[in-house]
Amino acid sequence: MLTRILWECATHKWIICGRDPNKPSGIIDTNQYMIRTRDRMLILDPGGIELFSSMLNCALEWAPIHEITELFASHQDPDIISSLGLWDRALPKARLHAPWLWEGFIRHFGMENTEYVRIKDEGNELDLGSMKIQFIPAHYLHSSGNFSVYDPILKVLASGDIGAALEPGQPPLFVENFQEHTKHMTAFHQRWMPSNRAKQSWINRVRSLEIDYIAPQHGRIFKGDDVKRFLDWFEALEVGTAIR
Amino acid sequence: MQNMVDSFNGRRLPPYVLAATLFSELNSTKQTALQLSLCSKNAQAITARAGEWGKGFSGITGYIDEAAKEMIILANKIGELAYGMTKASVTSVFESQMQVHLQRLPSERHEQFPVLKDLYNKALAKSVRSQEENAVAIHDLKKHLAEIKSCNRTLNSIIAICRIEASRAGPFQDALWAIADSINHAVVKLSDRISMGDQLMRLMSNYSQ
Repeated sequence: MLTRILWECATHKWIICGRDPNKPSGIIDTNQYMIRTRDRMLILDPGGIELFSSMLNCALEWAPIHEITELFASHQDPDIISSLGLWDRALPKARLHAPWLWEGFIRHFGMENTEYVRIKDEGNELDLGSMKIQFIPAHYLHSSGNFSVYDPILKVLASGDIGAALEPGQPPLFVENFQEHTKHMTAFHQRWMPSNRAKQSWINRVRSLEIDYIAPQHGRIFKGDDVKRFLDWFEALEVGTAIR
Repeated sequence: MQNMVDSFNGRRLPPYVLAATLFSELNSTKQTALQLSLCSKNAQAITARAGEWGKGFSGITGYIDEAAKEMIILANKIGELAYGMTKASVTSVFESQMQVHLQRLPSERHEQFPVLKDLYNKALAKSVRSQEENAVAIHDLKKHLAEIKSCNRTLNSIIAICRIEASRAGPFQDALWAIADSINHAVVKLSDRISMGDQLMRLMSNYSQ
């Protein structure tokens, strides 16, 4: 599994784990992000059960196991958090930050030692010691209880399934040609995102933030001008099109 | 039973499937035992009405009731054991999965973080403990199944006496004959369940070796 630092500053760094060549065929490729501070590490959407060993291996490259103290699940999907039962056994002292709405469901993945920290609907902040991140509401995009993660220092928005692209092979990490890239995003967003109203609400909220990077859970990362291009493209896109 | 084994296409049946199947199969013995108990109460009522005609049969009803009660107790014990085995087997599978994932990590990672070895050992110990608990449970299950068999044999021998005593019950003959038929029916059903239990126990024993 590929792992590298994406962005860093004095207080923390963002790391990606993904593009796993050993992942079993037939499962969707996912980007896992980690925020490493001096003495703690947060794993965003740690992924499915099939990826656990690769992810554990990657995570340990950046932090010893007792410093992996925080997990975040943007929503309840299996590619997001079905590995929870194994993380729960592996991490001596961890908290899972996830939408309050999904607590009773996510616990089905197995949770004996980990503390479930409910994120309320309006979102909140998580203090990682040397920095704070914000959980930004993204309900109905696509899950009914859903959050993006915003880092105001490095100006990164981890957007979960928003901005996701289903691209074959092992594409580069960053979008290089936005127009070309929309081919891999359109059908996904039209089908998975059910609500134009929810979409607009999220776009309005996100436009008020300073963002240099949008990092989705599948596919490539948007940077610089592509951030604005993506928001404009998403705003114009009709979603929830599978109603028959 | 064979259908279940065949449906796995040569794959090993997960132990929790076997335990859960045993739980459900032997849980139905409890229902049959309850019916037997009811049957015995019914027989008591008939023999009370029959007076002198029913005296012979009334001596047997106590045995039927006792056997039924014993079976209910055994079925409950088996149910608890099988349920415990199902849970322990699921834990064992989970811990084995953890071990497999940890084994996939490169060796330098294990050298770098001795805590991983502890984690591996913990998972191993847990799955070994679950397996040991299951071995004890299998032993106890076999014992209880043998006791149920013995109860059923007793009931089987009672049926013949029931029929003899029913034939001596004059105007109450048909009613008591029907009771004997019901007991016979229950014994056949119990034999089926016991035989299924035996097969499941054999599979479990094979897998636990």
